[in-house]
Amino acid sequence: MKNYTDDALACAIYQLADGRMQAAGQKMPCSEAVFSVMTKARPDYVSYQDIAHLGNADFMEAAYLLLLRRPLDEPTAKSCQENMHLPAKEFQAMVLKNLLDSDEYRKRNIPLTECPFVFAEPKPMPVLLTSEQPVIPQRLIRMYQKMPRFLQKLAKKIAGKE
Amino acid sequence: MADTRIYMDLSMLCLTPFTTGIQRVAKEIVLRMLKNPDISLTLLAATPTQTAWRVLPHAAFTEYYTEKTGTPYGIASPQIITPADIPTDAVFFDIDSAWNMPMHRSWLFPQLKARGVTVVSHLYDLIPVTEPQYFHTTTMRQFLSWTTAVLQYADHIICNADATKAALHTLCTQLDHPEPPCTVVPLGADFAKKTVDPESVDTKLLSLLTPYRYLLMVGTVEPRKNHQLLYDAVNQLSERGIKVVFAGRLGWNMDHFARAISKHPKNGKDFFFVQGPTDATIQALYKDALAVVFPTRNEGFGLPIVEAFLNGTPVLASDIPVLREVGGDMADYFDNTSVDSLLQAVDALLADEEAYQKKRAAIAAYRPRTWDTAADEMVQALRGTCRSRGDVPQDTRVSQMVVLTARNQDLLRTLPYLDACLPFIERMLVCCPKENIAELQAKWQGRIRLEFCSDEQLLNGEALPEDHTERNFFLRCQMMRNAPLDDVFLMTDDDYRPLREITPEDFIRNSRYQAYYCYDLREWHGTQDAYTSYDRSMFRTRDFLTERFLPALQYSAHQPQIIDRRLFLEMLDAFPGIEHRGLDEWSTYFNYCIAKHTAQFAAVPYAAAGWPGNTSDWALWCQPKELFFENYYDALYEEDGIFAGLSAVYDPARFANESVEKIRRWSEALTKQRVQLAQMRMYCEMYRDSHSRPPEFLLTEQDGEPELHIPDVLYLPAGGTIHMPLLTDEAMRSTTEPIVYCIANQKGDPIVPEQTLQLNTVDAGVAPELVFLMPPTPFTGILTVSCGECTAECVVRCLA
Repeated sequence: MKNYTDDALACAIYQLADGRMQAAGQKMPCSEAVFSVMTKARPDYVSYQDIAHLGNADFMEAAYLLLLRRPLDEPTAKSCQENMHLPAKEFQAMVLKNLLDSDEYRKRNIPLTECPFVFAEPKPMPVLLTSEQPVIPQRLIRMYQKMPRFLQKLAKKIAGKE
Repeated sequence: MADTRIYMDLSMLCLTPFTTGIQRVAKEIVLRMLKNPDISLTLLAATPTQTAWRVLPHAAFTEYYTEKTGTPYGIASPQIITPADIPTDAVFFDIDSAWNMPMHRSWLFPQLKARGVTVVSHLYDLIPVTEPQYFHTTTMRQFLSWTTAVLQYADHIICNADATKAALHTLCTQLDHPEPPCTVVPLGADFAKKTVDPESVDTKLLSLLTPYRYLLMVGTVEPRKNHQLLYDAVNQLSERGIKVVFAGRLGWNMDHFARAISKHPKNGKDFFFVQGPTDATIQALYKDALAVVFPTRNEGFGLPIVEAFLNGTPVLASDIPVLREVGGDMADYFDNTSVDSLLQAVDALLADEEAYQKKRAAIAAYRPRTWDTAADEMVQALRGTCRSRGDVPQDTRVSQMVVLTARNQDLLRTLPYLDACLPFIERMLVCCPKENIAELQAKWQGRIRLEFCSDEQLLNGEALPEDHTERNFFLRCQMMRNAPLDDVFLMTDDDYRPLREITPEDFIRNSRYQAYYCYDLREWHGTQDAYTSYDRSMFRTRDFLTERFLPALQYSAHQPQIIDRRLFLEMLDAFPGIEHRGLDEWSTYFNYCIAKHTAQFAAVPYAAAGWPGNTSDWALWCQPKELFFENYYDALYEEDGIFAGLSAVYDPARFANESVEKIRRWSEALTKQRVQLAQMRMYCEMYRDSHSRPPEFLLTEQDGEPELHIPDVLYLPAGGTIHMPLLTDEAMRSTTEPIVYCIANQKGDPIVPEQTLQLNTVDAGVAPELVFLMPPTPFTGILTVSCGECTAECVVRCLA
């Protein structure tokens, strides 16, 4: 019996499925490298470093799968084709900028961490100094924690925190 | 009384507004499991972050899924459960379509398994692996990933058909991977009769069909269901006077099929395609059909066969093992690749009207397997896998404590605590230098009898390593081999003191050895600018364990731990030469045992005050749930120490009250750290809201030069030690340029002293971090971070 690492087992299963797809005259929907990245992904955020090593096509595929939780759509894939020759960093910055600027990403709101690219001017942070900091009663905090997410957002908005 | 605790993630069921397919199975089984007194069930639905769950109250769940009151989202309670909260003696059972869940099992299962939680997965089929071409790309990719986690981590698999079990066996054989134990529990099918609205029957269709006999195919139109075969037979069937009805919604990748049938001149004459039929129409179609045709290429179970039988309709099904299992002798079978084979099966039905009517009569008497039976068998299977009671023999007795020490005074100060609080301990084996023995014999007159084993006896002629931790591990390994030890004993250090009376149940509970952990070795940072011998031992242990695919929790919890000498010796035999590797003895032993003898061990959070020496020494990875030992440090009792004013030596008159006070003060310090962590989380969230990215320190290489990205404002809690990761790319990890950082006021006077981080000295397996020792009073200042010529600045607001 083989003593697989998680990654090696994922790749072995991928290859098995790939063989079946080829026999049926079809192609796998993503490369083995992208599949490997997907299998290791955390549910709560995406680390740029986990996908930085991928080639341009794979990077774009993985970025969409991880940050929008959907495969790359054909029009976007086509529009990016002419930029595939760009150096990796340049291409990655372009893909991420487009992606992070989209309404679809804002709705998903999956944090991208360890990303060296800076895309947007930030909104000002609320100034919180101890002396100026309002004391929020515990009762209100508990109420807030129990609220559904949409109400929490509304409460934040009313409090001027969003 | 419930003796088995089961946790079930039903996130997909809660997200799905209608319950068909797997969600229907999950609903039927869970509703019945809730009534079973032998189990305690916790139902979970993932939170939006997908790293924790909310608990679904039983009453609300039952009410919603039986009476459809409320909303599936609304039934979740505010109680949050994280993977770390699932008890080690519980079973985590996945019956829902977990491959669709954003909480990937390849992320979740390793965490559960590292602590010894039993993982059981329900396997409906393996078709996305064996015949991926029939699946939507997203489903297929997610399923492959889920299969990886199940094969790697599931302790047990429940299948609903022998055919699926056989497919699992084949897959494991192909992969040369060990096959997880598997139980077959066929599904139930006694669904409650749906109330149908007679008004919603498609009377136009039924009146068109009334003069004819027809074949019915029910189900979503998708490639795997093989509608094409029946469609190809339409002309020949028409010659026999048989119509065809396809009923179901149009699924993915079948547009060509939909186009072909819509243009077909015989559409609406010889065959009909009913998209989205009502339940009433389906029931009416079943009732009058000559037969239901099920030409599917592959299935996990084949519930449509059962549904056809429940409507008294004969079935012509693909001749595949799983359908033979479900349809038995009552269905007729054909080759799903051959139109002729299908036509032969139809001809056989038409040939003898008397035999056909007899068949219908036999089917009318069909009684399906019940969901009650299926749920009972599932519970039996789960209880069989559950390790709520472990494998440690009931009569295991602990009466020996073992200590390795060279410090007589420390041991002599600790012994009275042990003497008073561990009444079940009769003897202590002291492994120490020969010259220490006489003093200990002379000065200790307590109840616990001291026995001795000199270092010379332990070494048995071997040389003693110089490094402290290497020496420690080596001596402990030698001790297991050469010292007069009981099979099961408590291993301790000379400064681990109880805070209350300790009982054997603190070490063996429910027939499982309690293994106390305090950290995850993969997260251990150590003192990054000056690694100690202890840190290096942790790194070596981390590498040793992960290279061997063993879990890597940190068990050097600084409190006594229970050891089974036979298992320790087994571990030494499993890894020849291990004694020379300078590992952490606790972490090596317990991680090995959790992986190899899971039924004997439960990993539980540690319970020691005084570890770490200062609660802000590092970000606590796990917080003790209770405190009943103290890791003694002199400094804690000094004037500015957390235990200042309390007795540092055993005083029977003050012990009880002072223990309570120590627990109170330590808990308070832990709470303070929790609050600081919460403040940091809040800051990170606010930052992300306004900047569309987390507040990060990032050092990358750009054209051979370092480039720094830092947050433009930092809110840090006062009085804490704040650890913030410095993210780097590979190229920068080897830089010799120091990273210098300092927080100063607007005049430039340092508020937080300048610190240096030398990246190339940080252990390769550790993520480097910037550490800020925040003063206790709030301030606003400027943080300057520099690496070579590259400098970045940001505002720091220190909050109370």
